[in-house]
Amino acid sequence: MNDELDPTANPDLDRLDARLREAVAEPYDDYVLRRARSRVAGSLAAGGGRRRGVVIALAALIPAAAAAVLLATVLGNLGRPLATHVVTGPTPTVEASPSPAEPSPSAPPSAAPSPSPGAASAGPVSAIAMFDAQDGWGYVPTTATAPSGVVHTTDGGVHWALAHVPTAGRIVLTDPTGVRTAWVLAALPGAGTGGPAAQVQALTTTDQGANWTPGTALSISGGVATLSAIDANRAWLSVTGNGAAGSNAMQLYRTLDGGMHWDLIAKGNPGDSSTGPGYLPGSCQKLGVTFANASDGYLNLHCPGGEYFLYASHDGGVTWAAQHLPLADLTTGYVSNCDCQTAAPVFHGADGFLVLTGGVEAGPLDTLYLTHDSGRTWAGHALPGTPVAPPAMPGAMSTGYVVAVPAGGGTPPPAGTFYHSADGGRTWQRAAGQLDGLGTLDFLTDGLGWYVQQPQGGIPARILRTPDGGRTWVDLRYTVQG
Amino acid sequence: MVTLLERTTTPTPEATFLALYDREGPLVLRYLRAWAPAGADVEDLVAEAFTRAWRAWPRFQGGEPEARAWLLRIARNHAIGTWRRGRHVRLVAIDEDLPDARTPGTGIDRIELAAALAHLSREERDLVALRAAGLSHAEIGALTGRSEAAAKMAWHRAATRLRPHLDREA
Repeated sequence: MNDELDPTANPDLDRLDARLREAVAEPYDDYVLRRARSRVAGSLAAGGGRRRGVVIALAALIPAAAAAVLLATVLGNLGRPLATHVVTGPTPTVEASPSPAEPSPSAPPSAAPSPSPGAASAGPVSAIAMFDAQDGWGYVPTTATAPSGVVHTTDGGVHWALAHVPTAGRIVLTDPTGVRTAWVLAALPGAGTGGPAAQVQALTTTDQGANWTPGTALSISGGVATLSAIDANRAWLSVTGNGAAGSNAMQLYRTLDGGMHWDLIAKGNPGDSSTGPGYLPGSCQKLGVTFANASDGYLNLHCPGGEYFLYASHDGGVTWAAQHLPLADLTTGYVSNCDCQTAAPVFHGADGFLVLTGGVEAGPLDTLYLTHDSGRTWAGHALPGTPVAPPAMPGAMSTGYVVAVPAGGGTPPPAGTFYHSADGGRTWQRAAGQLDGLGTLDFLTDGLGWYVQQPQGGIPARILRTPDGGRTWVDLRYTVQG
Repeated sequence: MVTLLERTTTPTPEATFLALYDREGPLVLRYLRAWAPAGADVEDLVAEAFTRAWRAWPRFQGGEPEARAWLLRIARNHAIGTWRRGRHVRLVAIDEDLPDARTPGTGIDRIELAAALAHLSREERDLVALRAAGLSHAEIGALTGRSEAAAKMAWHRAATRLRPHLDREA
């Protein structure tokens, strides 16, 4: 169209047009699409009704071997890499209770059968946290056929049972005094009518989910809610909200009575440079707050071009101050002026770690920071790549495990590589075992660990367990019962 | 072992549908992100929209061009339903650190965009979302029953109303 004759020609609106297109695209969209695709493919495999009926009906009429071929054909068309995976067993996707597998041969997971886990009513477990070798909790995200939920296991992850918690969110476990407490953060319907208001509620259980104590619902103004708890009573809830570009608002609440009462103890708003008690920083994208103990808490940030990527409080969350993070493996200099962000720290008592990801034009700065004084000081060590999930550093953090994408491996990550550290995270080597795809690790000891494999590009959702530090892995072929 | 699968040449409905996902998924994602409230889990929205589409897939009779419009209608209905239910609180686990919608965009922050879009009518918002997702004015016209020129004019009206609410210049 000739602009001179076009009544809609307007350079300002053309610029706005371009900016709007930028605003709805992210560099990690391929990664999001792959995850969503796996979920869609899972729905197709689980039936979406029609196709599943065909498989069940045929499987009942034909020998198991033929049924396996049929299923292999169906799964092959759902995106499983044809040259590397073959379904060798009977039709696990139509069996409600696959046989539990016990640790046996030291085969890598890629050689194991890959049943689709879980009952038809629940999606795959996407993250777990174990109290001990048997007792643990997991999270089941929303699927097309079922809402999100929290699941519990008493046999090390082979069988999972859905907890009867309303509108379950995700879980935080605490065990500082021997009282095992699971906190669940639940999203409740908004109190308003169509507006942005919503409510969150914390629930706790100390008896493996037999009984739940609901806290008081807290109205929030939308955004992302994260929970940090240190025992059965004390927890912090950080809620992010609206803001201008590059920064957001955050409110920080604290409870001392298991979520029955919440007090707003600090807040930060974009453009507000107020400091002192009750104020969080106004700048940067505030992501979440994590406490090591009743006093020491940390706010992790995404701050492109910034100087600080961590703020600390030493009075329970009322007063906050910026904390420099030293450059990896150096005694001088600190991280600044990069497109970096920190992940939520993880604490085991006074020991803890956090991950900084991002980098500068010269290269990535993916760094693991270690502390042994509840976060008051940190020492940084280069990671072998960009972690796809937080590392696992069991016990006194003498060893570590991480799935990471090596530099040059491309982003968003196509697949992770499994690394091990024998010196508490200072140096990393490729681990002897093999792990497929992307997933999260949970290690209880230097040997006993779990890998929750995310469905992706034909790789199924499953939970693997290792008794020997990752040298051998066993597919648990778990089930989820409603 | 592998050849059994490789010789499967007739596409199943599942394979056809997933091919549709691969082709249209990026567009649907961007469209839903423009529709969704800030902080919404766009992965959830995309997965749910396509799963809904799969349920309706046996009834779909069109070809590729119709499939895009059909998918966008399903996605739009899903987005509107999600918006009405206010399902926009995302809970984040301490044990999970995957990329998510918290990373700001580079041109217009999505929180800012969501707030600005709230000032538009549903039809205007849809036009902006379709355009932001990457559709041409001709495609939007075909999708909304307008000529290309009329679609462009309608988008300009919506963008003109939107612009004052985006207070930050690039």
